[in-house]
Amino acid sequence: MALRKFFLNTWILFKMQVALYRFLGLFTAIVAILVPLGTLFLILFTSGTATEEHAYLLLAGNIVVSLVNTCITSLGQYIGNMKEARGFDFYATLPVSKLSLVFALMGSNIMLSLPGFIAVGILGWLILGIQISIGPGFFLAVILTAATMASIGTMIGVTSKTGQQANHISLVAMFVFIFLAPVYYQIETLPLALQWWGVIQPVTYGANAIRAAIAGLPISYYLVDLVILLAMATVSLAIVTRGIKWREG
Amino acid sequence: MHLAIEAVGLGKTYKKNNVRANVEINLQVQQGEIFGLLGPNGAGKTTFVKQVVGLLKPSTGKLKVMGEDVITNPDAVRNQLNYMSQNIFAVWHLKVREVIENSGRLRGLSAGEAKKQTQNLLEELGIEQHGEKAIFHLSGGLRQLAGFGAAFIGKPRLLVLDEPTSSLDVARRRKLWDKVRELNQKENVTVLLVTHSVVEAEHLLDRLAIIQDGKLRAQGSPGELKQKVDNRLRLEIIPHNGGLPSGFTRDLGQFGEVFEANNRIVVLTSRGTLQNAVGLVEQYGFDYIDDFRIGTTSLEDVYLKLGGGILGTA
Ligand SMILES: Nc1ncnc2c1ncn2[C@@H]1O[C@H](COP(=O)(O)OP(=O)(O)OP(=O)(O)O)[C@@H](O)[C@H]1O
Ligand SMILES: [Mg+2]
Repeated sequence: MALRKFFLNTWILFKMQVALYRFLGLFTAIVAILVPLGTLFLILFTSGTATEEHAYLLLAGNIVVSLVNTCITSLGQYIGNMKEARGFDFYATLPVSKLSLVFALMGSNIMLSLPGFIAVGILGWLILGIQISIGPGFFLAVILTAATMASIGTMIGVTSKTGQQANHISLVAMFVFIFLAPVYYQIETLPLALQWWGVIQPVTYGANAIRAAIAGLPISYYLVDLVILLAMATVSLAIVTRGIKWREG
Repeated sequence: MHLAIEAVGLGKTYKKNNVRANVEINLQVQQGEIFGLLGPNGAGKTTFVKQVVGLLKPSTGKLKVMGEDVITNPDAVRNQLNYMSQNIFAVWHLKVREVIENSGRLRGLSAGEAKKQTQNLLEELGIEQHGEKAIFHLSGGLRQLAGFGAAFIGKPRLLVLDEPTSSLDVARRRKLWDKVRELNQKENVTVLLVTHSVVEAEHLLDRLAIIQDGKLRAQGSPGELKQKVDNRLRLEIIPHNGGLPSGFTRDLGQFGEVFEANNRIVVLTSRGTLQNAVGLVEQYGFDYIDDFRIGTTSLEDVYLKLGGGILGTA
């Protein structure tokens, strides 16, 4: 019963959050598409044509970038702004759990990265000539990656004093999670220090799992990545829900 | 039966600026009453309310709401009260109808019931024609009505309203007060109401508390408080645009307590000396005044005396 209410509330909050795109829709979608596409082009033009393996690396990397962009940057800024304006007071006096709100925010931001996925998929097919396969494993990998990213985004939002501060921090975070991580490159090709950094980074496992999934490999190939992601998502969500304070001290 | 709200030695100090916004407040709100919180700007009313609804953590003392301890068990309180948030920034992008309906859904109403109650509320509040507009497109007053709709849906046991009518026109204000009274009488909803409209509150409130500088100055029914202040008569003088001649106010002082409120001069005087006060008004001549009336002490006088600062004797 309590669980049913939890899911129902999450669903209602999700719909309330998604309604935001009615007004921001076009512009936000353009940004969501531009960021991964821009990076894709940048890398293509600087590295020339790609082998099939390299192509999957690039496409998976771009999907991760989409997720980092929406779940860390957009979400972090949104929460930072809300915090500054004490906007969550509205929810704080309603009988909803913080985790419901976090899930709703996360879900709506995953949705925001969908246009980016689609654009990357189409371009991969047109330019790189590879077709990506999308199955349950892909969605699982995306959702788990998004969950850890969203936790980080939420954490940035709730610890920032203003929306602007959240903005700055999330840009730094984006850099750390995209360029200092084995998102566009195989982990072995990185300097040792970054390899170690890569081991504790959720995006490493996210990129691995997504890469395997879009290449059409069976889930058993990237099960370990999924399990590690699940553990990271659970821990970070637990930390985040503690970090959100309905009540001012 | 437990009290709706019970504060014992409640204190709140904001750490960042070290402001003691609530000091040793002892206050009881009975179930089923409309209880008012009055006091000048910055008195600590919103601070009190935010602790009741679980947005602020009390620094000292005890606070129970609907029998539940707010400090140790804030979640239990949430299910029993509806608070009209002054901040609907989180849902600024939603349509009025959606805000009200979703608030109902989140409070546990079925989809059908939420829809029905929303429609009724939109009609009762006279904002049906604005139902499909986004909150950020609305004027301040309409936003306030939307917020009220969101606060009312789901039939609360305790309704907490912090200046719900501050941006409303007179007609809508009346409508809202009527709705509050109806709720209170038909559904036995307890209401905690912060307001600056003392005159309107006088007819609505069962009991009230006056807060000033974070401290509780008085608590009781409007009648009790009036008694407490005095049973003198009040002479109210409405000066002409140009103001009163110097010395007039001072001369009135010999007949009783004089203070100024809303650009009016109020003299609280005993039955015996009222005549003399009126005589003085006649003596200065009617050119200086637009109007004057005689009445008994109003809640406004009580408020001004206990919480609003007395100007006349300063
Ligand atoms: N978040 C806050 N941080 C620090 N100080 C605050 C905060 N909120 C209020 N205060 C201070 O606490 C005191 C009481 O403020 P409060 O908002 O409770 O008054 P109020 O009675 O609601 O006033 P008003 O009638 O203007 O709404 C004021 O001195 C105010 O400056
Ligand atoms: Mg206030």
